[in-house]
Amino acid sequence: MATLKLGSTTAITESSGTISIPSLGGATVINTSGAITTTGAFTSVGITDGAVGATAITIDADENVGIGGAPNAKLDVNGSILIGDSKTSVPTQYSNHGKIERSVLTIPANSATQIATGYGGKVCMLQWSGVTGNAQGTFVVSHSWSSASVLYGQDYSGAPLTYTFSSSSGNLYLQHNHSDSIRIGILMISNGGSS
Amino acid sequence: MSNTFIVIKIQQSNFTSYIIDWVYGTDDTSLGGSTITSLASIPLADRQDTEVVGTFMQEELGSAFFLEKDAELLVQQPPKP
Repeated sequence: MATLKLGSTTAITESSGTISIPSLGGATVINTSGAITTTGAFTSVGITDGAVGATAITIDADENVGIGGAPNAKLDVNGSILIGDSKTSVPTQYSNHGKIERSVLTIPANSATQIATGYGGKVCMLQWSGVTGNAQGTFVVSHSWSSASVLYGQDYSGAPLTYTFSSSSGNLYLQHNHSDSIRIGILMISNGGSS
Repeated sequence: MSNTFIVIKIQQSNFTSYIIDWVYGTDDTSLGGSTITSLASIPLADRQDTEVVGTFMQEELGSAFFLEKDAELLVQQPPKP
């Protein structure tokens, strides 16, 4: 075992071919083609590993990614998936892909307002409450190029309201007769094509 | 040929609330939708009658709604292949 001291501080220790450095500071750049292994926590600007003593993400030799376990597909999540609600734009399908997307939209009264884009096979699940007043409902809607259909719907507003879903040029629209705007949460599952 | 409003399916979702599927247009061009509304003002025995509900729906949706749909049908293009 050998040590290199800078002043009274041990800077580098060598033991059986392994070099230990207590701390790399400043703007130190590490550039290596070899493996980097740590049994401690990993923290960076973009990624923080807070899974103390556990494997949070696994990437296997086939480039599959597992979260909470070994992957059996390109992305394998062993647990629940939450999709956030910060998006306020109309959900859109993605060409020739399956897609799950959630948005929160404000629908003004008595005006057909677009709530989903694209006419691929699609199911939209909606839940809403009134910005003011008492409007509440849960609906499951599907639509195509020029037609929309409610697969399930319950309006449990304080006073019964009228909601109309329609489709124009492949886009889904909602119109209601509440006295004020309605804020809806919409989760869209879409299949954007056949290629 | 003028556009026609036809109720094609009436589904009860609770005691007074119904999901009403409809089409609007002609044989050549049409569009369809679903409306959820209360049919409490219609006698219970008539709430599955597409003609009675169709008349109610046209009043409920209003003339502005149909003017908008008339305009949509004028510019309606078939979907891209």
